[in-house]
Amino acid sequence: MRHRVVENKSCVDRGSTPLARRKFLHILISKHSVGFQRIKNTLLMGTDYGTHNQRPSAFPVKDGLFKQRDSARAGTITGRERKRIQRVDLVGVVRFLMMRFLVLFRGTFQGFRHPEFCSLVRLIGGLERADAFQGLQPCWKGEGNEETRQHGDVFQWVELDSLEEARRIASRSVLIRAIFICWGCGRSYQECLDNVLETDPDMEPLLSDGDESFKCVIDGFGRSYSYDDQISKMTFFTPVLSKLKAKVRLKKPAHEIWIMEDVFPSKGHRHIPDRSEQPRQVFLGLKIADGGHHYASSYTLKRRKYIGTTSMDAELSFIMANQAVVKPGSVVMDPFVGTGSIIISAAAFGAEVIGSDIDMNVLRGKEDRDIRSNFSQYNLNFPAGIIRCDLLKSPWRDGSVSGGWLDAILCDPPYGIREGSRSFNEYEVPEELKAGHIPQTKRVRFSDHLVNLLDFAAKNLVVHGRLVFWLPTTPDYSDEDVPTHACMKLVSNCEQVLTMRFRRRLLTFEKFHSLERAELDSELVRLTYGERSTKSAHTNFAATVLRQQHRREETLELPRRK
Amino acid sequence: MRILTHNFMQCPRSKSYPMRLVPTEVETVETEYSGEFIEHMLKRLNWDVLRSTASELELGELPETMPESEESNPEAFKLLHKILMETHVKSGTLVSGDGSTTYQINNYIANMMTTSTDPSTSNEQQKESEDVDME
Ligand SMILES: C[S@@+](CC[C@H](N)C(=O)[O-])C[C@H]1O[C@@H](n2cnc3c(N)ncnc32)[C@H](O)[C@@H]1O
Repeated sequence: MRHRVVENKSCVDRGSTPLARRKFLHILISKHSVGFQRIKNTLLMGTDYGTHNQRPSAFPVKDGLFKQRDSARAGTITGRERKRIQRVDLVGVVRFLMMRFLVLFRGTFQGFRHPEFCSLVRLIGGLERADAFQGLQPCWKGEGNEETRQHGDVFQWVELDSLEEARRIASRSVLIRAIFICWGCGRSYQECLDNVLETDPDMEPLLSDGDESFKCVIDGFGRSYSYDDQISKMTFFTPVLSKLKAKVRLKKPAHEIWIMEDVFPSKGHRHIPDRSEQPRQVFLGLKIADGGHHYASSYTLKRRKYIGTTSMDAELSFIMANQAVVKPGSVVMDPFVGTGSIIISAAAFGAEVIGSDIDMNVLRGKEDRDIRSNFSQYNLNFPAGIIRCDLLKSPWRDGSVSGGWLDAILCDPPYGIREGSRSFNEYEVPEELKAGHIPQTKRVRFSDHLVNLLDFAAKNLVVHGRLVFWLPTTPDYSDEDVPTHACMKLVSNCEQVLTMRFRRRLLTFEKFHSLERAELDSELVRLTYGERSTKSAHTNFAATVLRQQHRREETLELPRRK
Repeated sequence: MRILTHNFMQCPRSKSYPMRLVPTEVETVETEYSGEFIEHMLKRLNWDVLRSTASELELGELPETMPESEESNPEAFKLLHKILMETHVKSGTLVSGDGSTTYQINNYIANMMTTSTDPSTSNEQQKESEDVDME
């Protein structure tokens, strides 16, 4: 039972409260006249800064450090080791200066939370920051199986540089509900209250009686409370709330204090907990940022004028754009654009978008509804290009633009359930027949699209550009089904279960070095994927899921590849 | 289709680059100016192709060498914004460098099929894809 309190206390020792951190930073800057940036640089450069004895008493001490410092005191270490120890201490300093936040996620798409968050850290802070990012830590550390844990995982701890960073991440995330500075937490209301009183967090600016205002919000994940219940829960925290001098205002308060509960239903995760059930985690925190779920709701397919059977859900499209670290001015392409549902999200984030598809009808739309009319509906700049083409016979100057020209490629490749994978037959048409000619298409194996897509991405993306796409699979999926390419590094791979037999995985690749470099090592550039495609779960995907033998891919001839 | 996109396209059949853009209908849509975007695109564009396309379409004369930055040539940047961002080709043709193939642009959509088609008759293809369409 003590577990949670102890843990939260240690986080306070490391300066989770803004006051403690400000104090510490102040000491550091005045005593050693160095700025935060310099401390960071020192750390990155690997040289040491300061001496041990000048360290303030509140210095962060992690388990591992204790031992090392003891051995240092015992005089058993060499010079080089001492240097390393000082570096480790600096890691401590920087970690100490990081702020710890409580992130409250929405209940959906659990598997996508961590990848989306990491991508956003990268988007806001750049590559270096992303490398140093420590990741999310689930708050629920208790016993339980996969399901009980997943349920509790809407609450996660995260260490970030600043309030500003937290706010910017939250505003782009469609999976985050809100981010908080946690004042206290526990496994019951009593524990939570004790924890707040014991750790005495910094409650500025609510302590001054100026214009500041606040309200209390009760949030039970997965359940709602009657007015009376809410009042009694708030009154429970009177010892804390009574310290606040700010006015209570229910409409548009400047601050919100949330009392959050995680109640795991005793009947299992599919049930709604009943009113008598006790929470297993309780948090009290000051909300500092709202998530960006409004993107998903204002771009919902329900109100979009032009959609088709294959249009991508708005929420998932925004997750894709986040995975691809799309920012204003990025150049983004969907080579299987269909009704344009995926590029809409990229355009909403300020990207210049290009879409292509083999099917002229889907591009042209119906009457006055088409991809362009969707862009007008949302008041977005029109796409830079809508092209009808076959990705297997690409009209792009791939590769010849040294260093690439696309910042991201987002797509849902055709896998033959709704839209067949097809390609045009190439043949000569006599001049006199050309005008009314309908080109023949043929079905194409899904794996050829995959191989081609990775190749296309490697040629056209800028270095550090990302390719984000859906891989349809079945429960037989194995990691070997994921295609590989010498220039492309798999960043994340998350599954969405659609039906018993049908799932898909959102794969995020990053081009990590230029094609020229990979070509130096021609062994590496070989696509390892095509050779074993017959064994993967997505081969014959349409045939398996629809149980239609005539869709098997073995019947298709192998395409000629140069 | 915008001129920005044209700069990255080649003939899918002959692989010739650039293709000649012959617009019959051009629209100008005002968009918010971003010098930053132009600057970051410059490194990716083929300057000579852009310059000759702009002058063929009578959009304006770009300097012979690519401007280094916005400060060094603000007028060129303004012009680039107009060319790359605000000019939309509604209809016209794209002709491959060797003149062998002509691709149509209709209703802002460039049709880069390796065999040319009459847009009004491609309904049959729709039927074919409905065969695949399950929902
Ligand atoms: C799963 S759908 C993607 C739909 C899209 N996300 C949307 O918003 O509607 C796949 C698309 O790929 C297109 N396609 C199939 N084969 C293609 C090819 N060889 N080249 C380009 N597009 C192709 C189909 O016409 C279809 O619109």
